[in-house]
Amino acid sequence: MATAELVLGLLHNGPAHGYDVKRGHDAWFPDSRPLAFGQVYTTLSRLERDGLVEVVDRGSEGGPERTVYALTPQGREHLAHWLAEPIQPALGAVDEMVRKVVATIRTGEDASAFLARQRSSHLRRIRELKAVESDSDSSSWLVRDYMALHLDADLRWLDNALDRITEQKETSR
Amino acid sequence: MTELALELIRVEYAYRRDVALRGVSLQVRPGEVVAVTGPSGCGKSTLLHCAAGILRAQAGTVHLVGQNLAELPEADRTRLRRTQAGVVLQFGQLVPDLSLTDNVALPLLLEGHEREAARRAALGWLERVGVADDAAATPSELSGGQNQRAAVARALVTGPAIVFADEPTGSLDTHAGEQIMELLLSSARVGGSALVIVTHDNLVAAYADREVRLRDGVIQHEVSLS
Amino acid sequence: MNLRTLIELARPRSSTDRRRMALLVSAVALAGAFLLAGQRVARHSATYLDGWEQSSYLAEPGLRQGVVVAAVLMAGTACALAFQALRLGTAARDRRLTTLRLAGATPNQVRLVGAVDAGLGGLAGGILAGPLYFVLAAAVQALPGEARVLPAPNYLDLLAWPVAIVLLTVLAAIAGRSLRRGLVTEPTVDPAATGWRTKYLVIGLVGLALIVLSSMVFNLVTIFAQTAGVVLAASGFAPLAVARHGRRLGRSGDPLKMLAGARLLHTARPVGRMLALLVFCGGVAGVVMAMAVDLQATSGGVIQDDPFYLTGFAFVGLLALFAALAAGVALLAGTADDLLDQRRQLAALSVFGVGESQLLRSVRRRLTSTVAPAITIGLLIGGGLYSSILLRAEYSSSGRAFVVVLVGAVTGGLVAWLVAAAAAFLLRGQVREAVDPQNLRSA
Ligand SMILES: Nc1ncnc2c1ncn2[C@@H]1O[C@H](COP(=O)(O)OP(=O)(O)O)[C@@H](O)[C@H]1O
Ligand SMILES: [Mg+2]
Repeated sequence: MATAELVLGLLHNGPAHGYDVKRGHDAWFPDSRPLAFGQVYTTLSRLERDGLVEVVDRGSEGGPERTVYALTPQGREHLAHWLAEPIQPALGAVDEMVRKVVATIRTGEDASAFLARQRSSHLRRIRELKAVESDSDSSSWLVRDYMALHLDADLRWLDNALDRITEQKETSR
Repeated sequence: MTELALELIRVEYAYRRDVALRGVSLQVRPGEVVAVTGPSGCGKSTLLHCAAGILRAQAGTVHLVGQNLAELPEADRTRLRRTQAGVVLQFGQLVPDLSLTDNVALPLLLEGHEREAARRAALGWLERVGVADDAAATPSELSGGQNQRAAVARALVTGPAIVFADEPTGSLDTHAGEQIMELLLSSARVGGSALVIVTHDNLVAAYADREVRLRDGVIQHEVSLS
Repeated sequence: MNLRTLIELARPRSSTDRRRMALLVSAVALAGAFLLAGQRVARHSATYLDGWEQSSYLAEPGLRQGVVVAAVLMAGTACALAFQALRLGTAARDRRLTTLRLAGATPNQVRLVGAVDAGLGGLAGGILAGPLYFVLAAAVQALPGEARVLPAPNYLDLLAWPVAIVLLTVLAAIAGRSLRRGLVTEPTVDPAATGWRTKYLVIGLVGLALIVLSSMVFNLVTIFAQTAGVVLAASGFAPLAVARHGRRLGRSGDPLKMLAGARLLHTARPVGRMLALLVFCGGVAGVVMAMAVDLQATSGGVIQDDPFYLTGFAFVGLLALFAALAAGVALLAGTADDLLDQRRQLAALSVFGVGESQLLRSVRRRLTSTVAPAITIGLLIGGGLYSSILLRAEYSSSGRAFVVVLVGAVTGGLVAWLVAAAAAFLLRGQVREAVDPQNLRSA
């Protein structure tokens, strides 16, 4: 999770309170888990320690929620660097679904019943994602599309896997 | 209990060499959206053609809005199909010589409606599916997406009890495909038509209330999605 | 590809395929027989002096050349017919050629298959041409003297026959190679539908003006000017009339008429050209008809006994009939092509109850509603023009000629209607293939 870099990104358009940073994050990713206040403030103070952000106004009462943060030149550079770097393909990160399928087959459970249940639940989730009306200038559909297409990929992998297993059974019989 | 829009009981169909359906039973309630999925060659199109009465089931029965297709005389069967079933294919179903309006009016004209009334109804549907501006154009002058819109209008113009769609988005890009799917769903909802969509695309299947999965001519599973 | 593979690929498979091949072979055989007849007449050198009874068409060198020209014209028409048969696509053949292309055959290899396919037809036709010619010649020998326009066959014909076989095979192969079937998988789109009308209108008007102007003067040139005028007017107006007819049908509330009309509207030019040919053939027949009436009236009934004229009329009439037949087959082939190109769309209509019988009816309407009027109009024009010449020459027979032409035109139209209706029946294979649900499968 690149929370630090995201916070830098949220400060990109100008100085902001910790509260604004949290709100901005939740607007960017309405379908993901909201960012906790605690996480925002620990991240901001870590970034301040590293010289990537600086405090530009402490407010009259001096409480943390009044503090206004801004990007430093190093912070801007760090953000640009992060955006310019392609992410590593997540090799070897085996999903829970893969573990379940392998376990289902190894324990001799009914794989096609598993397929039916998994298709049902994945298709429902895709349906929910598609059902959300996206307001025109939001970017949230990007995230929903990403999730829907990944669920689609899961299902295709599952179809393929179970097809091959059925074929193997048929030929070995 | 209201009668089913479609009921297939142990339907079988074999081509000269391949057995395409080996006893498929299926029920579709009025207004229900059912996705028929499965790998290519598993018999999806054959199932759809049998259900729509394009092919005659070799064994088993097909009931369309409660009527047994096999027991009806040819003329009645045709009329039933014409008024109660709409069909949308992947592409190339509109008559190239006719304007979109005439294409959409065709089922009504065959039903014996007055030409002007039929054209008016067709225009109304073209407007609803968003191609009213191209009503006078012929299919070859328009894009695949626009043609599919007109095909949706033609399938729904008679107010059928059920619409059959065979890979309706198969030759469109993702965005145009989504638009057609939404159009199909909303149009079917307006008229209360049931919808049977044949597809191998999970993103299309996800629109349905129920998934029927076919494999080698038999139903592998049926799951509710709503 | 070796020859065996080629022949295997070119071999007809479906029953429609075989009918197409049968048409091709018969047309080539006819062409061959006419060619053989032509060379036989050309080699003929006997005159009256030989003392045995023979037709003056053979005896007089000038007329003899006319017979040779007529035979070559007949052969040419038969060749045109064969070409139409070649063009006739069938769904099965089309699919085969398309898959051949997809399997990686080069355009040249596909053309080669086309050449072998046509060449085989040419070969078979050429082989059949010999027996056909001998039967024809024998039949002619049985006719009364003046009608015996073919000399008895002799041994040199046996040498000409193999030459004809080679010639026809090569010609057919070249024609088969030049076709584009299988190379372009998309149905051809009509070029811009606008603009052509004015051009055709002008052509038609020029023709009409020529007819009118030439009727004002009265001399030998008249007949040629009027012929040219009829040709121009027919080629100009026929496509316009077809388009108009198509539009009118298209506006009707009957969906089958609508389908027929829309197709006519989109094929107005090729259909119009063939109809113009039919009008012309009808015109020739009309002239012959009026001329026969005239001769009979002026010669006081002698005409029946004058085999010279009768033979001449039969000749011209046969030529016109044959050309009309070729035009009819071309129309039929065009219709078959349409059925092939639109098979997916037509199959999709089957859900609405537009099945085989409805489609066949629509096809029949397309053919009958164009062919019958064309023949009638042609007969009226030809007969009418000739009769009007009689009228102005103040021959007493003009009135009778008008009546006969009128009756003849109606009868001719009726016969043409029947022939077109019967011909539509020939397309039932194509119609069945067009509505086959298999066409609905996506690729
Ligand atoms: N016209 C036909 N002739 C012969 N076999 C066919 C024909 N149509 C379909 N088949 C066969 O029937 C099976 C099912 O085909 P189809 O219903 O088109 O499957 P799907 O639509 O799921 O891809 C396939 O094995 C196919 O090869
Ligand atoms: Mg299919």
